[in-house]
Amino acid sequence: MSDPLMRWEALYTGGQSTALLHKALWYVAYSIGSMLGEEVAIAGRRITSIPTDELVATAADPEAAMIAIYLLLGDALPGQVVLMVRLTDALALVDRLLEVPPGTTTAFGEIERSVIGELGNLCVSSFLNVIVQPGWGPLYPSPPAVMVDLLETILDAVASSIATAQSPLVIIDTTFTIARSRQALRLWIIPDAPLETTAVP
Amino acid sequence: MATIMIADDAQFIRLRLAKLLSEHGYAVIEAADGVEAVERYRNARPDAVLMDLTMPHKDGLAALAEICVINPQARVIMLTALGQQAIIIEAIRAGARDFLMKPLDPARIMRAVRRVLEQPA
Repeated sequence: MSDPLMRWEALYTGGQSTALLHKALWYVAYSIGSMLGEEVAIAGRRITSIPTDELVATAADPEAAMIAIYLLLGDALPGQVVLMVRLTDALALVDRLLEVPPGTTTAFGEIERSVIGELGNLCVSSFLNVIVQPGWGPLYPSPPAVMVDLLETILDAVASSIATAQSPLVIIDTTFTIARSRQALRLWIIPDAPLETTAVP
Repeated sequence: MATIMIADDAQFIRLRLAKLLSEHGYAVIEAADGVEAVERYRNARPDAVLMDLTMPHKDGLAALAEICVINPQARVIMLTALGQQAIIIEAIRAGARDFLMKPLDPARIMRAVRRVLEQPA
């Protein structure tokens, strides 16, 4: 399979390929858990298709303050990845990863962005480590870009970055929850390929 | 006292590694991207390098290759969350002495650092 766009399509064709997608998402949960030192579960996952111009309208709470980590996937498996965390949850995650008392982190400066960016980098890298197949060559993500804004602004930025490439968007949408604290992380993997969509069984 | 260079664009990782290495008695210098890593290596000649793979301006593999031109015996340990076989092989072929996966495990990092420092440079 030499066409990078067909590589995405193969992940939806059922059987072993779909199992590979699930395995990759479970490995993301495991990696986040290893970084945080506690169990992380998949609370929900689906593959969905959304018209680009309706992306912002899909937000249940568009004015929620969020942190988003944005990464690009390389040409071997082109796409974009967004990891979204509520600002309050992100501040708590930073406290934990910097090993400071809860409530210490109150704003997002350079070090805090670096902590959250590393979390995004780990998620994407873990996904790629499992998805990669013989003959594809290495799969690289870009360095992470961290956005702190309202959800609607973040989604607007995501839609703008993709609008010229395809419509509607296909999104591999996974929500992870941290067992003890119930903090949620939402991971969107957005292939740069127009695909038939299939619900993940 | 051996000097270790940490090359990682993530300030958080540099902070954690610098703390860990300092606590174990090593001197630390830092670089925030591949270009800076090559420049700092050329000027400071650290005893070992902990090098991230994915960095802006110049990635870790390109920086590793340039450092190995400066010193073919450079002790470079690659640090990355990317554990794909092709990447590991590429790094080892380019001259990496070891390859450690993120998230970081302090005990494994210290073992790897001690091991490469025992090797000839």
